[in-house]
Amino acid sequence: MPQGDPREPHALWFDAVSVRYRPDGPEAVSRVTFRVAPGERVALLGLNGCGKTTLLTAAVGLVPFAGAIHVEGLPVARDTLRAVRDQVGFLFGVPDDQLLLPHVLHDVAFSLERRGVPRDEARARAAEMLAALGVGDLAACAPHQLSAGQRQRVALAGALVARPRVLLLDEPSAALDPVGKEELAGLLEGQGAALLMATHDLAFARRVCRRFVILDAGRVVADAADATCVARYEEGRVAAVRTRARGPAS
Amino acid sequence: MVAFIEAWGGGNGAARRLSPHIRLLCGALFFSGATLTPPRPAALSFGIAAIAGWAACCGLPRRRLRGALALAASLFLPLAALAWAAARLNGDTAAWRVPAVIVLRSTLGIVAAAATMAALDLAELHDALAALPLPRAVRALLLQVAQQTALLTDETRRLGDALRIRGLVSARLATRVRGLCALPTVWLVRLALRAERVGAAMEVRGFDGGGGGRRAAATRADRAAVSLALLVLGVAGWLRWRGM
Repeated sequence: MPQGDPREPHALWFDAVSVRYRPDGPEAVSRVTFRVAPGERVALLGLNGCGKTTLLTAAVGLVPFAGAIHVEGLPVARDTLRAVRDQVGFLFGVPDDQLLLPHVLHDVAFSLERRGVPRDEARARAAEMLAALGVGDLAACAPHQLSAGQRQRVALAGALVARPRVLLLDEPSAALDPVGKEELAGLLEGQGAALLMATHDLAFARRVCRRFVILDAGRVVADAADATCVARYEEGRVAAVRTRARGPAS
Repeated sequence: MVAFIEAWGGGNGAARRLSPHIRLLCGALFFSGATLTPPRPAALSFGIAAIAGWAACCGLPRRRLRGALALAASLFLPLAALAWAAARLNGDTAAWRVPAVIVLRSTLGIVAAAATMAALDLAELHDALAALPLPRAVRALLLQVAQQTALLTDETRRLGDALRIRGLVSARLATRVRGLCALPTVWLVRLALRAERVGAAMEVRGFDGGGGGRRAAATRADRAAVSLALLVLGVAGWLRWRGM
């Protein structure tokens, strides 16, 4: 049974979540527990391989997990996946993977059309979202004609256009230039959705988020609402690299 | 060599005035007609004229026509040469007919496909497929084949660039052989992993081939084009059936 008071409003709730990719393999994520309140923006930080992407993909039912995950009060289970995914805007770590149509505008509009929005309205809203992300003039292009950063923006548009209540973004600023990052930050603040964002971009995380969950080897090692934990995490990470570079003291 | 991405659009013939789904439908009908053409003089003339007419309507660029013919030659000439040699050795020239039929029909089919692709931008494919009465699964499959091939072509090009930058092309022979032998494994693994990730994305985004364009009201040109394409198919079938 999940711990804590289930009546407490939450957009996302990870309750003792563990993930193994192989039955006899190590845990990629180990008993992770935390909540994201409605409208709260949380950065998920950690080194490569610490389990950030695994946690995001578990939240949309792409990987099997132990424990419980709730999205907008819905438990993530086989029979609720469609309803859960309707609530979520998801950005994959490789944006190419989620560009499913050979026309940028149609791809973004698809996120609305599958939610029942009429085609003309969907395309109008998609055009607005593309413009807000600085790629409005690419609406008639095919994705393969775009640069990596442009594809990232189109994939983001597809995730944001339906104004979902929960946003799960994997490295959303990875291929963006400073202007793109600022545009995205403004959009995320304006959306009002709950946000869980896996990122290595600490400056972007501080710009957008007000709470920081740090993973290490699949476990939560810090969960703080101020930026000092981020600063300590950053300093500790850099210090570890310098120590390794210097080698053992002679 | 024309890459898959480059084979779409660029045709500026009369077929451009048709709705996207009509261009696709007519292309499919001409392609089907090409596969029925028997290798007899009257039928052959009709088949070549029909496909040439469709290619002209689509405004198939000459470079792409040469590319299509080159593709057909590379695929089918070895077969034809082998069959011809075998037929000569056995003194049975009639045995060469079947391979000749395959070569002929396949070449006409490839030209028909190239012409249709030239008349249709890749970006129009979604609307074109959505407006045809196809099962969702078929629509999803066709769209993803086109979309992922386009993206993979791009990725393969980047892989090739990486090979050049990393010096594989100018390395010693043994190193080149080792690198090239490893390449299919690398590429196929990337392909398989990508397919898995795209499948996951389709799940999360709820993509099942649905959505897309409403079928616009058929214009007079659309109706005429479909009628003509059906006529060509009918004549090809009749010629085949009558053994002409």
